[in-house]
Amino acid sequence: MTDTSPSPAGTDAANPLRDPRDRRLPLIAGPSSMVMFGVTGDLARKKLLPAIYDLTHRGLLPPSFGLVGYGRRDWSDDDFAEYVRKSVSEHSRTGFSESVFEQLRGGLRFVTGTFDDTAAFERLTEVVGELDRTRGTGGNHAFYLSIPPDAFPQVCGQLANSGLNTPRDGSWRRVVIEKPFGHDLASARELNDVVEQAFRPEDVFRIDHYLGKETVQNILALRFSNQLYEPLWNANYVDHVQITMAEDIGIGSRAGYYDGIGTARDVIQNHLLQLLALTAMEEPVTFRASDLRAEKEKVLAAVELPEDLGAHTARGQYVGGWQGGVEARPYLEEDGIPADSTTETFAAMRLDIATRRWAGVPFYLRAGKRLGRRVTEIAVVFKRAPFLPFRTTDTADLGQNAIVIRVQPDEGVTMRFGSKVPGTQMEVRDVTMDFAYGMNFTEESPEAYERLILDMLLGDPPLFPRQKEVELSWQILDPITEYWEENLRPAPYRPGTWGPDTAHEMLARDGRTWRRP
Amino acid sequence: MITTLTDTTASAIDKKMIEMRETFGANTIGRVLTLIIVSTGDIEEPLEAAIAASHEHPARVLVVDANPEAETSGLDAEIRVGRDAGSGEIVILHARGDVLYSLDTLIMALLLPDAPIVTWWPETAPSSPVHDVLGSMSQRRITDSAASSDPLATLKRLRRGYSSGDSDFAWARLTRWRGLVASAYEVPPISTPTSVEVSGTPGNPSVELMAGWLAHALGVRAEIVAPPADDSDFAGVHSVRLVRRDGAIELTRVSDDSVVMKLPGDDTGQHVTMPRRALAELITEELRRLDPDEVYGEVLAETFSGIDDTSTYATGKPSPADVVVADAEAIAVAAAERTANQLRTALAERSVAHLVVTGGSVGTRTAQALPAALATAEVDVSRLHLWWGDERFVDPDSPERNEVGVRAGLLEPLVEAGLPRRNVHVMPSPADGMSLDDAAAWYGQQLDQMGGDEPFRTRGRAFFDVLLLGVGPDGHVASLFPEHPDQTHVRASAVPVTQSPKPPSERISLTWPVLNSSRHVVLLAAGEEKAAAVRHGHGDIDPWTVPASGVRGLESTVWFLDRAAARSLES
Repeated sequence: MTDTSPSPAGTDAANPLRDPRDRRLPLIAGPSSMVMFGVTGDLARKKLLPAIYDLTHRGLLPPSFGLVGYGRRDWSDDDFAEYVRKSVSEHSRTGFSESVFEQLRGGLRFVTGTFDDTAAFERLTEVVGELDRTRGTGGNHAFYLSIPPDAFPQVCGQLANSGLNTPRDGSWRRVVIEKPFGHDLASARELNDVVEQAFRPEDVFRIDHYLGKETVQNILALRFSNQLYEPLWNANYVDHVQITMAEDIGIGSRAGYYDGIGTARDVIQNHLLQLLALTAMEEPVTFRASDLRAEKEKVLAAVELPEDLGAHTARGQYVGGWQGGVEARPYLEEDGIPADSTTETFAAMRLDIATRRWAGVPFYLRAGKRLGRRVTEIAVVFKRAPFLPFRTTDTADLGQNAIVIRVQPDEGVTMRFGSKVPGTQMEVRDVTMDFAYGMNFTEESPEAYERLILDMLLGDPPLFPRQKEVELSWQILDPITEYWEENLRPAPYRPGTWGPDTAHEMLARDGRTWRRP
Repeated sequence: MITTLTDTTASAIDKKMIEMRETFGANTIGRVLTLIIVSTGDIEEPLEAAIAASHEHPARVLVVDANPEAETSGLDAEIRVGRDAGSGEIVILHARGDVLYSLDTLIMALLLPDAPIVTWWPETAPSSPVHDVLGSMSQRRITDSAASSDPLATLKRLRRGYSSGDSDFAWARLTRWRGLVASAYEVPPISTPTSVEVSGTPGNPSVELMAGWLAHALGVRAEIVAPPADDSDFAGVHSVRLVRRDGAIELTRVSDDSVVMKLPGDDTGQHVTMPRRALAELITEELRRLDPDEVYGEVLAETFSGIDDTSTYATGKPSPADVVVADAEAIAVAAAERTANQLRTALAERSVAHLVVTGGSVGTRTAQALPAALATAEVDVSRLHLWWGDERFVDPDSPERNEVGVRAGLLEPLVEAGLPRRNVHVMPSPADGMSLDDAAAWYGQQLDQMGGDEPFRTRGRAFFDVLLLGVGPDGHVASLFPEHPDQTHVRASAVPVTQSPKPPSERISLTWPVLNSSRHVVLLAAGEEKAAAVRHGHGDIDPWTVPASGVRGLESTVWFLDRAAARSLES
């Protein structure tokens, strides 16, 4: 997203072979390795290892790249290599090739140990040093903590004790953490303190995989590279904005994490508020990470909650029933969910933004499980034309103009506007104009994790939220979840619908309706 | 689905496409560009690559399947949409014969409104893509020098004709190599290499560009060496060696899909996957960015030094000889006889022969003497092509036109004797509805089309068999005048000439490299007023001050002179 390519990792001087005008030249990560904690977890197996393999396949990782697994299993390097092979052959996006795996294989190491095993961290230090010597990883190492947050203090402490957190001679050490970044403001701060005791704030990369998606990045391109939209992008023309993130599946095997957390903390705090920030923020001075962050932080700080939280938020929980041809269990009967759980699987809220641009334009956010279909989109709904020189019957079918940015699936942008129906009389009806990235775009576009891991190795931070943004998001969400805790039980909704009646009533109070995505 | 239209027109195709869209509701996805593929050979391979690329870049693909030599003229088309066209829509235009005279109007109706145009020549690169009729309306022009019969010569030619927006697959084939070399540079401790070595197949354009890129970016000498004999079966770049103070970093291709990188002090090396790139990958990469690849332009310029000295085209060829006869009439007869014999020889060796005629008084007389000479020599005129070295850009029937001067004496008798009208390549006039610039570009394209895969060379094989040139009193040939800025343009095959010292002021002329791409050059001069020009023309090769000295044939150059013109040669 930056205009200038970053200088090669670990150096101050620019590489003369990397001419910023040479846009063909792939931006390959500098010499480096990654140490992965939680390498046997689901995320590592299905997403992270395949992403690393796919990056190798695309030629974007340096030949010297090393990957060190750290875990309890009593594995040799070869056992680990077998595990990686199995994972990538099942989940890689670009197809398995023995030759690519061979390249990756040379840099695979495994260190057996628990998080409290000081001796194992000493072995890890040796292995990392060995990679520097034999592979030329240049002392640049990233630590990927794909582990539950409660293990962070131990791991960060061990990394600090063993000195692994400290770079030498112009090399770098980075740490990657995944959401959730806490479950409220206090816990987010606590978690951050732990990580920042071992790493400098600029070396902490928080992964929100949504921000790695092409369409999310396209929001900025759409808004700030065009003349067409920005003049309309304000309270003069926009009636309201709807941001939807719907999944058609239940909680699956995530019961342990999900219960007690709920949809609002799971996705609204991070994904939806980030989408809101990108949609509502002012134009950044440049696309440098610091400038981008400044604008996002400003708009998040300007978010205001409704006074009557009961009237302008909604909370739901799916019940059992047939959904699209399969029978779905009620949330309360999912494995590992207590029968009296009050965790929400649907959340909706109205937020206002107290700026000149957005005063009086509500932003409606909703997210949930077992909804009508899987879709994430931002719909900017415009006001009606102030005067219509037609008879009212002519425009009976005319709705409000809208620009819909579809984040997933079927990435693209749709514009909805009125058009004359051919033939007969003057009759105006809504039509849509559609831009899709192309039929098979999703096949060609890289997985969000590929992008984010590469950016992290390149030290290119715009796509990673900083602690300030995380804290601002919790400040928005905390009063709502506290209110819910005491006053609002989740309302039941049938699987495969668009949430509980309370969600529809919530918009009806404002004289609006939810879009059907 | 596939729809075929026979004996059709561009507007009928356009109409059919709209009809198909309405009937099937297909093609509602926005197309981001028009990709034109100009092919003279197999269209399936580039088409497949374009379909694959359309997944990333939804495009309208127009394939021009050109057959300029077809017996009859006409247009057939094939429209593919939906499953048969990937994410794009494809129109294959089977263009025969004279249809190709106006290639631009053929595709004009089928271009997407406003969307960028990319033209791709999978085999035969035009001599200057930007001067091509299609190339001039394209944002990006893509050639593949490696697919031509003499890749290095083609790339050099493209260097000469380079314009911002051009690119060549020889460059795109290097992308992953270059990425790897750039990251090898970053291996600590970083220091600028003191020297660089690139090994690879001799004559491979990618190898040359790799060395050029390294020399350009690093400011060090990049030497090209032949690969080790046992590895010579690898096409393209075989290895790159960066020599630094701490030792050498070596990248060597070991198989079709992998490279081994050896760091200083490491003998086993690290295995890197780097498969050779398929056509689809190359075109996909090219379409990713529609702005000019400036780095390619700079590297191309670094790799092949430019030709600033237009005398280069004439040097190193057989020295001119003189034939001195009594008068202009005798010149005409002698030159026509010699020309006819040379054309007969040419036709015995090749299927067609190319003759360039000229204007002026002796030139016109020689042209008039040709029909009889050709008949005597029993030349099969049906296999002859006629071209002009220059023409005045005036009314088509103006007596100032070179073509008008020979119409009655040369063209009519030859057409009667069996010369096909379409083999007479007349330079356009304002009445053809073209600007002077467009007219020159159009003529250049006609030459390219007939040149087939034997683009203009000043070395090796020639295009024209016999080139007749009059010589002006000031020593000018064609419309290349002494010390006139327009004579220095060598990027295109034909150039517009303005403010000619001799009226009329607007002309079209062939350029130095094209004129010098002839087997036999015949220079004609009669009369005392030409004596000085003849004398200077016999001196050193110096096109800038004496144009007549700057054209030589690959096999022979002969001055046909009368005594008056030859007088000053005696001493």
